[in-house]
Amino acid sequence: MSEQQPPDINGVQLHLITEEEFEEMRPQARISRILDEVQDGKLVVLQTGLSSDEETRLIDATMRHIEPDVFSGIEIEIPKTAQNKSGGLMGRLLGNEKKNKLTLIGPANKLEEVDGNDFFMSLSTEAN
Amino acid sequence: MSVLASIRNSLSGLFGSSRGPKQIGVYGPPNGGKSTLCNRILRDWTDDEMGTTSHVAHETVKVKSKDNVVIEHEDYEVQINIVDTPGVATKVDYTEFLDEGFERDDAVRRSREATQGISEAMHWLKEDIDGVLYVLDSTKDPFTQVNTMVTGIIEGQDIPVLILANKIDLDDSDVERIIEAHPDKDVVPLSALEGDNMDEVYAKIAAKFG
Repeated sequence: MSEQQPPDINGVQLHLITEEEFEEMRPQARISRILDEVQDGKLVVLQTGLSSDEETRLIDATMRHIEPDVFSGIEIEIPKTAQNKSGGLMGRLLGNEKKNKLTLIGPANKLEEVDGNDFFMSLSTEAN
Repeated sequence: MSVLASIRNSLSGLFGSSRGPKQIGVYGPPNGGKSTLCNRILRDWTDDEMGTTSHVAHETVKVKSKDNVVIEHEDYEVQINIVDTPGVATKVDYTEFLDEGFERDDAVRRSREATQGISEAMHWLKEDIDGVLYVLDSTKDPFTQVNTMVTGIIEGQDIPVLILANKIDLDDSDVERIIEAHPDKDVVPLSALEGDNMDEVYAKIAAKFG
């Protein structure tokens, strides 16, 4: 299992889940892992996107974990370029086959503080 | 659509439509006008209504369905089951209900009901929905992550979808923005509240799901 730790953004702790690591997990374990990290207040960076089935599971699991004053849910950011690959919102559908695209998932109240595009730009700069 | 549902649909296609009316789910973000649309459809074609509507987000907290709604026209006739769903979101914060004037206990109760309703809506989408009317408020930005995610889920499950650009009666409605967001989909402008352009909505429903 290989794991890299990307830089903090605005002092918010990030946790990278690599494609290799993600592929080794069972479907429900992937969702549990994401939610565990997010509920710990971290931003999770997925090296690869979620399938439609995983997205369904993630929404369902998120709803079951919401607790007043404790956890109000998640927000998700993917790079604008990945959304618009084939034009418009449906270009995002390329992601259903899990193309390599970064996905950022975080607690609702923390991801609001991070500009998604700035984040992906800084991550890209760091990688280069 | 689950594997079993896909097989079931394929078989019904081979041997006739023994399964009966298709289940048409009305999905979309909170406050897009889903329940208003359901009420409009039911008022137009039955003597019933689906439920209450309000400006408060997550007013619909349970999936509701009305079976055997027959939409008739000289050129078509289609029989469907209409399934109204809670607005899908990835976060539900009870403090938003406090902002609407609810007491804390009520706000917490509503937020819990909303989370259960969203889970239920996702289960229906995965198992029991044959087609989707995706209702968007045309005065709002359609390029949100939740819309991206939910329309991606719908497409990923090969469920036919009709995009409805609602609230065209409002001054700041921008249907072009929704068409731009869904360039490869049928987008129908309407006002469910005022009943504007419902003839085209029904014709598209018949063509897409009939």
